[in-house]
Amino acid sequence: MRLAAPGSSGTIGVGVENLSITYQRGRKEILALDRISVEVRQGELLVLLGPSGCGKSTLLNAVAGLLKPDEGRITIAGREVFGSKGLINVPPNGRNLGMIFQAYSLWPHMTARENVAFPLKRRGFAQRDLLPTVNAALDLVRCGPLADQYPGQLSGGQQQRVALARAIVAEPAVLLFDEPLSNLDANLRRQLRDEIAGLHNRLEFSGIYVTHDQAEALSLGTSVAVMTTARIEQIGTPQEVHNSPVSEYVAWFLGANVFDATVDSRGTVDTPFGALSSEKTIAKGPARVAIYPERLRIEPAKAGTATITLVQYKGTAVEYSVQAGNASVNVVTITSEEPLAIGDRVNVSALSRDVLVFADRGNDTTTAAVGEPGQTNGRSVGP
Amino acid sequence: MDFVRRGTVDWALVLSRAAIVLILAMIFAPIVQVMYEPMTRFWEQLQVVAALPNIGRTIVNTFVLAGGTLVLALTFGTFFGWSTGQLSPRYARIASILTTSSLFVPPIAGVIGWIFLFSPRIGYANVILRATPFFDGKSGPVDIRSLSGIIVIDTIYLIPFVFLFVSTALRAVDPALESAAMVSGSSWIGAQFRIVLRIIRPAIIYGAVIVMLLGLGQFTVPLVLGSNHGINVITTEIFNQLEVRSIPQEATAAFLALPLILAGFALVFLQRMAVGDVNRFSVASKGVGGQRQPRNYLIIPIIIYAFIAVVPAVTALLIVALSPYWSATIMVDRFSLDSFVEIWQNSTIRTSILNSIQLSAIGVVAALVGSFVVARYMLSAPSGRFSAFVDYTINLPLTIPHVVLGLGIFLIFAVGQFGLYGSGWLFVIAYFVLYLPHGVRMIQSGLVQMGPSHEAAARVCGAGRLRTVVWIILPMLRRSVASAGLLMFVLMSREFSASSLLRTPSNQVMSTRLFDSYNNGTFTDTAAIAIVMISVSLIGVSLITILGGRTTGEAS
Repeated sequence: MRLAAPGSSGTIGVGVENLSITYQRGRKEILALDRISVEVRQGELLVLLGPSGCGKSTLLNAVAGLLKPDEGRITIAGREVFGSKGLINVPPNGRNLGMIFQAYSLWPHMTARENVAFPLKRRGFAQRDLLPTVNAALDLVRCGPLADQYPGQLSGGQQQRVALARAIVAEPAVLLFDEPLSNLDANLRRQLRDEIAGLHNRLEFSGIYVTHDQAEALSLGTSVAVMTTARIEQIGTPQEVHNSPVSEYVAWFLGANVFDATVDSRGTVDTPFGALSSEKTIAKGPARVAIYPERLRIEPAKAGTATITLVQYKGTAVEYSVQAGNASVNVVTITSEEPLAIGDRVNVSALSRDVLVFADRGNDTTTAAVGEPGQTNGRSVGP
Repeated sequence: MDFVRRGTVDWALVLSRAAIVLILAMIFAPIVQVMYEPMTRFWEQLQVVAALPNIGRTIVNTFVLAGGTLVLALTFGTFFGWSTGQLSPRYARIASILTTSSLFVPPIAGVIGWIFLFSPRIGYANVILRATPFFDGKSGPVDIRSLSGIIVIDTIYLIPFVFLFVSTALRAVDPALESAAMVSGSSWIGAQFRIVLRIIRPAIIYGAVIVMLLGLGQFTVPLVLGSNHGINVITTEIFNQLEVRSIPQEATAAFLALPLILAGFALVFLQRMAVGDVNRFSVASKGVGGQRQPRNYLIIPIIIYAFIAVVPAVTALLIVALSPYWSATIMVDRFSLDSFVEIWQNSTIRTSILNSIQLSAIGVVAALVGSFVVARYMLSAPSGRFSAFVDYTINLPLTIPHVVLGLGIFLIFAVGQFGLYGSGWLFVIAYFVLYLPHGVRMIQSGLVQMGPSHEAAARVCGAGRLRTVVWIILPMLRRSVASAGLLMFVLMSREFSASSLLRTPSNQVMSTRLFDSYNNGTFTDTAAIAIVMISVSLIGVSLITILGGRTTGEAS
């Protein structure tokens, strides 16, 4: 089974241009997508990352044809499926897609095999021709022995594997993932994430993957688009997005601590934790600093600038909450030594390439998003 | 069972268990009596029944009526239920109210409205149709007093039942299942047939069985439309054996009822077989699927149905009630409230209306207490054979035609050793038995929603069983109790099938007096009583809608 046409890399799998969608909620009109443009090249897996309500699932449903946009253009494998001011609107069944849903959405009245055979039947395969393909797809997700079970008899992880087989069996042009792992427990999520990554390497499918989990986004995506309300804030490779966020919001959503600072005329960043230097240069004045918890270092010191306020032992790592003035950051250290204790004084430092500085635009996007106005609060995971 | 705790007898528990045994006996006794009666002289009765005039025709009619209403009500009910699932939430709420609106109109009142419309010579609708160029002559074109007329009118009253089962089941279907079919290459229509309707098949089958049972037991509509014109079904033949013959033929009536009881048992059994392993069809869905694109134009057929089900019949009744007499021409200038004054001055009619209200009120109180006791028992009892037996028995009155239960109650309580012939208590007993299942279901769902923790908290804080019920459970349940009470009041105050066998000339309720009035040919009085009945229903149902919103529909 191979989903990418040989030698087709570089062509466009999915193209979205100036797509807008508004919802009617009661009397209010809500802009769910605001003239969004994005491209998924052949063989690329684009991850849409953002908090709930940012419009990422709306974008996915629009590509699937389950939602009709107000305006814009969508192409799949070079074919226009939505456009010309809504005159062209190919229904979902004409778009040659595979889709994996959050709640698995296997049809409860069909066996696993019947579920997987469904897309082939709809594409006109004869019963005897499709069986080998169906079995191959089930084997690929290691569910061959479960073929004759009904969804109600399968565990969550097994159901999602069968759903995966159903999505890939007809070798669609594009695979769409709508938070496929968020209903699974932590271990299974990890395991299935690895399997999806493995499948992507082997089958080289083009896909769009929606999630609010940054670890999932960074490890699965060939590119990652971070979304805020109705628009894309940044798009790039996982490394670009993580190491060179374009805004404090992107850094914060990917897990960085964000706090207030001042940049002086020599470019030194004055923070409540002491002076830091940054490779990024910005104009002097008030600024916001973002640093990932794993890239902060702490040294015990009698006259340290900061105090440890919380210690969370995580096995191989220890996570500290460290406070100086009214700023608080999380610091993750990997050490086999005896952890520090609450109340210990420490000095905080970071490499200059890890200190990300942004001009203070006055509106605190990071804290506004979690509804804690006026309080700087670093956190290691997204909301 | 722990009746005795710490050496003291738990009287509340003893009393509630005794009440359950009494309730079971009240439900079982009439059914057993009806089944026992023909068994004693089976062959003799078989010959009597075989010799009844037109008995073959009566049996055929029964099946044609049940089959016809089944096909029609199932088709329309499923279509309306499915349509409601495609509407936006606001439209869906309106559609639910509209589809169940025919329940506002008591069948005994509604069917007479239809006669005023489609009586061959002076029915208003027939007169209007004859005025069009397509029809002429002095009568017709429609004769409602025919088997097809009975089927159509019965269908109108049965559609809401199928609708309720289907729409409730559809609400539980994750829209993502539909989306999954569409991205897998199915068209929208294809997804409806291949996925959605297949998933709710158990609900459709359940609805079909209920409609089949209701169709076999249909009494009011065939009695009013058919009986006087030689069109009989088994239920109306039972009525004839007791009410029309100069000497009541109880044994023959019971023999005729036997196949209806057995059909009830058999259909419930078949339904369980057909649905099979229900769990196979249920998938733990966390309900986080997508949303459907609403297709609000699908409300149009529902609006048309609701209009047809309610407006013409009620309008016809109003016109006749306001007119000095029923004739082919509508005399707007002679409209008056005279017939309402007349029914109030007529002591037998006034007594029947007051009787209905009084007896229904007593019935509601009794049924609420019974429902509460049974619902509490069902939730607390270990799931053993006895609780399964209680559950089955409580729901028996839903599967057995009311006229048959009325016959059983008559045989036991009126002519048997209780000797309540001519007493109002006969109606109270009938109302209690007939509508207990509705009360139990509503109170039980109220208790389930409430959960066990509040009760546990009260007990831990030191309240006894009785104090917990009075101070914690009942106040928290007041909405469910009020809704259940009102619903049962509405249903009891309009009950006709069982009442028609229990009434005596001097001891009537609203519905039976309405029927007599119609048979006597005093049509303006008939229409006026019908309007009073509809008003009582309307007030009750509106109060329930204000109180409980959706619970109304699910319980009826």
